[in-house]
Amino acid sequence: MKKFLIIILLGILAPTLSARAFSLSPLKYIFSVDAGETVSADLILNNYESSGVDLEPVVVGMKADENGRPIFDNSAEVVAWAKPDWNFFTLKEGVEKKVKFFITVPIGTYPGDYYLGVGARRAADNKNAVSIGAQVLTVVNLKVAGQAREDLSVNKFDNVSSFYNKDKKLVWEIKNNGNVEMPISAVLKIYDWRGRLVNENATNVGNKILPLASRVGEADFSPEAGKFFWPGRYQANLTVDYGLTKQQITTVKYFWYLPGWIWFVKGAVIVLIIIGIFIVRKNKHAIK
Amino acid sequence: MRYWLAIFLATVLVVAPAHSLRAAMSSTDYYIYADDFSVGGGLSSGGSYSLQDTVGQSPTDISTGGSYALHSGYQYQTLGSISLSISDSSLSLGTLTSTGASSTAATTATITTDSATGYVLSISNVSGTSLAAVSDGAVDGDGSSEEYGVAASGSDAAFGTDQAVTSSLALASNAGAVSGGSATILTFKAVRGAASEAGSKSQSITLSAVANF
Repeated sequence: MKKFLIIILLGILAPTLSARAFSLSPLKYIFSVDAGETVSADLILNNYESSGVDLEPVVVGMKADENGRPIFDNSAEVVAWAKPDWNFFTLKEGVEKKVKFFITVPIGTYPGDYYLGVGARRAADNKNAVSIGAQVLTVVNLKVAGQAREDLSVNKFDNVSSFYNKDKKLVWEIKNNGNVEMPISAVLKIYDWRGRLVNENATNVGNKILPLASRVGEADFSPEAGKFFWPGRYQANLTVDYGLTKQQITTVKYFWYLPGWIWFVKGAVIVLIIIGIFIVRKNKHAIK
Repeated sequence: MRYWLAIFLATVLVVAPAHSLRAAMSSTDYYIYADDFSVGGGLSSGGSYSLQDTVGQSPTDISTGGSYALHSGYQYQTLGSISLSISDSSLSLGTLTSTGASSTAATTATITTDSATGYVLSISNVSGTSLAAVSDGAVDGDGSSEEYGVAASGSDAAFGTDQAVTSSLALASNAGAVSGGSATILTFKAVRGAASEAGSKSQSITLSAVANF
């Protein structure tokens, strides 16, 4: 009976084990440190494959792309800060192993947030047209003690849709000019020529922005369904709330809405004016 | 003296939360440990992690004017794991004999993670030699030129056209956990051009999986 149960359990677990390959934990570390201090990032590697996997330590610099996703920067100074306490080894199937990375922040490092990835890599075998290696990383955020400065700018806020289209698309770009990551949120408000609020909606700018990183995106505006949208000049306000210091910045962009039918109206008005002037002059001549 | 000492100890034991005396606290999402812990500190929580502050000091002292003081001595982990498996790590594109006919080879990269912020699968390293990188979104030998690139497909695929194989190219991503695994099929494509030089090309690529910030 016991053997039967063991076989059933193995049958349930085996697909899970082989599907997960090799894994790394934890997902992230955050250290707040003084310049000159050394910290240790302890990681756990697991091999779920059916054979041993050859692994080597890896350290990469990290930053965010314009969509807020992590990308690699191997020229970053932080790469030299981290040293593994292990070298190449073979992690046998079904085995768990703990490894360390010692990270020393140099004396004199400027305060603020720094990012690197530490983990393990299975190298490509270089045997074919395309050889593929794999690596998994833990994100390490080093917060170097000192003065944190929060500063955000809106570098772009433009209307890219045509003036005759009432559905507007506004593109924006914001940049973190400070030395620490900041939580961010934004709201887009639309006002008509009389200053009345026409629309207000939260704009997705992401949850946070890393230091010296830019973020780009779009904010769409469409008039309320069933409501007449008057032609004319409108004002778009993009307000971004950012930082632990609860700062706010607002950028304004004006746009026009001039649908096709307005040109007929304008043309008709001009024609009527001309006819009116002609009639008045004709009457004046008649009186004389 | 004894009287005042007794009052002091009683006050301390009443005010100090019991958990601040433990070396570590944990939850399903996070694990906190501090280099030093003092009686009287407490937990403040929010988002995906909690922060323990020591007596009289917090990790940040907020002030006006857009700046604050950042203190040292705090460490957090975001618990969870991330794994990457590749179905075929060695792909052959064969021999390209005629122009206009592309050769393809595919592999499947599967990410499994319980990261609440999701993951990104990207190319972290590229080395070796290859044909000219695709620039028009399609490896089809248009105009009798050689082209080489990669296509991604799957629910988390980052793009829908053929892209040049370059470092930091995001192949797939998800904003949430994929505990059951998310598979992305990567199809490498190559087509020779009329002016392509004969010879062998071999490229090594490293795929990298990491949790989103």
